[in-house]
Amino acid sequence: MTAHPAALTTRSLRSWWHRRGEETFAAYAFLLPSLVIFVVFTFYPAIFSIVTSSMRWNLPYKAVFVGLQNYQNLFAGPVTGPVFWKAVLATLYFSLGVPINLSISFLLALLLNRRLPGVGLFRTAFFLPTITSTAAISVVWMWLYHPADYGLFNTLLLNLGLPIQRWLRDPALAMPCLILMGVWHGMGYNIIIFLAGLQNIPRELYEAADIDGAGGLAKLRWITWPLLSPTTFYILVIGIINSLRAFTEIDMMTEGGPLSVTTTLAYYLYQVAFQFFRLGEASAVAVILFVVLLILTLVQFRLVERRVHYE
Amino acid sequence: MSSLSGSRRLPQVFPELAQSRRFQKRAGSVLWYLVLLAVSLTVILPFFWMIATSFKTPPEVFSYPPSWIPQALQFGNYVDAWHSAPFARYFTNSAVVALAVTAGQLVSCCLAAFAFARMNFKGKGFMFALFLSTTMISTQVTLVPSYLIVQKLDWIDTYQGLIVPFIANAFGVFMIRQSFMTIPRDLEDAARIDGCGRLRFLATIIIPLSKPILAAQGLFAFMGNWNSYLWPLIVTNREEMRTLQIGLRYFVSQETGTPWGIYMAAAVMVTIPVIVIYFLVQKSFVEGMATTGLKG
Amino acid sequence: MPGKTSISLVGLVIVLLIGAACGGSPAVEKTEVSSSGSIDQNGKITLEFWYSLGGDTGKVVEALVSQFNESQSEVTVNPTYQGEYAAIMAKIWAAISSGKTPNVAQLGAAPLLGETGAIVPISDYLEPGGFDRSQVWDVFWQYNTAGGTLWSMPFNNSVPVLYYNRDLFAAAGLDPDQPPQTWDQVIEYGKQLTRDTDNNNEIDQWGINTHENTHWYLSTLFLGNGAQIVNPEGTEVLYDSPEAVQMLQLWSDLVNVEKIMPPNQHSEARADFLAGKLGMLLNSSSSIFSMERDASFKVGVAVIPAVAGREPVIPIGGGSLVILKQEDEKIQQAAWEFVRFMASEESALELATKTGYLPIYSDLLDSPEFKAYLSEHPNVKASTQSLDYAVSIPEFSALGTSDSALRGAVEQVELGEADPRQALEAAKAAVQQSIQEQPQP
Repeated sequence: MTAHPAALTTRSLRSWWHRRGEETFAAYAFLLPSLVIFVVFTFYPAIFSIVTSSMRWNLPYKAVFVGLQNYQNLFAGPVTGPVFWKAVLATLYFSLGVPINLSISFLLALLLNRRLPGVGLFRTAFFLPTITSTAAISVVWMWLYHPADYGLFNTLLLNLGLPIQRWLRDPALAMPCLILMGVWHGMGYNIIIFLAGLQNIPRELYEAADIDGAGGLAKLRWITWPLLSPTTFYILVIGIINSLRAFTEIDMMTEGGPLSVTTTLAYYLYQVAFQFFRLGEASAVAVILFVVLLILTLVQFRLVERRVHYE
Repeated sequence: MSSLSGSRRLPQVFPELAQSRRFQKRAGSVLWYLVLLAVSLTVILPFFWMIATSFKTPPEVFSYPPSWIPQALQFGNYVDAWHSAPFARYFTNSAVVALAVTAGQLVSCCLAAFAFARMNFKGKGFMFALFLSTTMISTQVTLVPSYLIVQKLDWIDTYQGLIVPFIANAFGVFMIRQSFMTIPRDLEDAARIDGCGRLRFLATIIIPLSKPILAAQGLFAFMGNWNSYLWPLIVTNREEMRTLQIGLRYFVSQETGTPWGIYMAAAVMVTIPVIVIYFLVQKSFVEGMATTGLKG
Repeated sequence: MPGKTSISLVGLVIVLLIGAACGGSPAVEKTEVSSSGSIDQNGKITLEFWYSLGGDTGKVVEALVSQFNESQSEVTVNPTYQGEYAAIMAKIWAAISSGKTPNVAQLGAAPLLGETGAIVPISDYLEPGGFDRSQVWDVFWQYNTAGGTLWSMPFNNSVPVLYYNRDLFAAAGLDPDQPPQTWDQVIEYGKQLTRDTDNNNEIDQWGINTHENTHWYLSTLFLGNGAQIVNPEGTEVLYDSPEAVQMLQLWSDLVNVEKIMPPNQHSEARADFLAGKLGMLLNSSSSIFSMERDASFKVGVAVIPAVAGREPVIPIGGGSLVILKQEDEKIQQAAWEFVRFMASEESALELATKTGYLPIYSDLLDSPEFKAYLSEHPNVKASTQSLDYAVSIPEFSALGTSDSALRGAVEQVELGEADPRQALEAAKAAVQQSIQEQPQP
């Protein structure tokens, strides 16, 4: 709605206000509570960290301005460069868990969306991993993945006549093991979100489909999938963001090893900040991670959101 | 809409169809139970381990083959855990903070999600990108600057310091926005014709229709805060302001060796409130009455 | 709305850049540090004390603080547990950045804080306070010295020791009262202990392994063979020397040649030992009580083995007490009185007899209380014997990077990815880069 430059009378202003201005003002009022908190507790620290990324700040020494040197070191430095790029690859590898998690959670949510007796117990079961103490989780999974022949998975393999594996201690298997554990750990959240999304699909639609003689698969394809797509889109986008930020499983099970194959960018960030105390370099990694995530998310919005059915 | 009668008519006309349908249904149910049972068992293993270990003596914890059922129930672990720290006080703090954060997030997220889902305004795309970008900022680097701010505000060792930084959540805004966008426009038009203001529309119509997603977000907000450790540790110095997770970590000692039985007992106690909240809340996002809202 | 999102992206970046430009550089200014602690109207002083020892050890620390508070009425100390090493370091850095720190703190790598200007060297108080340094083993003073200054007070220290399963020894025909004293003996014993107990062609009982801090145990091997970790100025790490390479080769042989140590299984080592699946384990002496408590067999403890023909050289680990700067001299003096109490002979005796930490006073070993304690807990003898061979690895700023690099080198040779020389040279290169970035004196 372009305003005629010559006609900025109070009346046209007032009509603009009634048309768009008032809504804009109201919208920002709605956004205000969140915005205030974000500005103070997220954006200011983020800016602080961008500034820090232009410094060499190796504790306990004072910070020194070095411009883009941290970034140069990460991308092309002789020592840090290979480590950084290896972390980038590890991050991409680890993010393969997102589509796996999405598919499994989707299927389980469908299964759990019945009214059969006992379903409440099953739903609770899938939720338990998200609330179990991480120490308990790590102890049990360490037994499952124990490299000796008495590890639980190895015992299974031996019973099937297969050779034992070193799981988390084998550079080739460590990442798939972590992905499996990540899927197991994160299922609960996604199932809940899918269940909530399934609730939003009016039952009348399914009943109408039943009358038309539609089978289970057809209902899935033409009703469930499209109407669930806003939820699915959310889980995809958030899944990728969380996957790139994931740190707990790695810290619990492999500490980035063996041979750094499970050192993702997020874990590398933790190492540089809290083990090497190189805060400038850590901030640079954080900025890079942020930019990567921003790009990935915007790409998803641009490419995928147009296939989402909102109404 | 007598849609039900249609599907019921078929079996009345064809009885064999009815029988095979029922059998199919039964067989399907049994299969359903088996599949879910199998998967569920693997899923609850660590939880079960946590409970079992909380009743074990120290040598039992490490015995091989691992024991899933303790020899004798060591309730002493729970007693020791409870007495090792002021858990009652920690519980109050964790509860107050988590509930306040949950309420705060639900309010701020609903308002923002409504704006993004239902309103047109200048800079909408930019603001949404801005909101989403907060989820991409790594917490490792925001820790110290956030602490400095809280410290300048004199909020160390206060409830505000534990609550305020978390009452906004872009994940929640995004999730609720998705849900709000599925509510039909006709409702809004009808409300506007009736002269209903935006806030009232949000509160009286949209929110009740979005119970499942709000229940889910409330649960996540509660859990996220209940389980947080590093921030409460950094902004509290006094015992009286500490939370359950800090109390729990007190047992962990890499150097000298954690007493796992007592630790798991404490962990079980810390987990119970979350399970209670889950039970209270799960009905909402599971058995909600889903309708289009356009009942005549 | 494709167009709008790209505008958003650009807009966002511009906002952040402008913000960065205008944001200033708060980190570069040196903040004036002043710790908490207060004096009330009656002249009574309150001090804040942060410590990082949890569990039973933490209880002992709190008991000592109570004793201090009750023994006099001018100073009250408020102790709070601040999480383990990483957590308390994060808290201290945050506190230093904000300018408000505790008065006294107990943590690891304390001398490194000296560079920040936030702590007062303990040496400023020792002489005027009439403290007799010779009463404490010299190695503990070295441990708390960096750049020639004694920054922190010795408090809780430990050494690596060799734990072994007496029952498995006996079953293998080895004398449980004669643990191995040289690495050659370790190999011999290890071969007897490594077995396939259920005859399925997989080894499920190993001879020896080490706990996760492999850099500490590797350093022990280096020092035992005459190699050094770092030069006295802290400007160059020295573990690419032939002596060091030799020891990493020995480590590698344990895994790949003698096959008595499982490759890259250090995270599981402690659990394996306690489950009776491992004959010998290198671990910290501070874990003695939890190891005895968690094991369902008789645990033996021995001094770390030595290289044949040489004496053991054992690097200590552990934490110290620091006094943070406070403008008010009275409060700072009170902080010293508290530190002096916590590091006094009586406190040291209490700490040493109630936890697995070492007695830092040399004449404690002859005291009747300690002797009685040793006769009740014979396993502690190994750690006290280690005191005769204890040394301190000099603190230098790239220590964190160095420890991580050494762990990486161990991993590489165990998995056959590199030979010891290559691995150590790569580790050195990583650390030297960090050292080069230090400000030149």
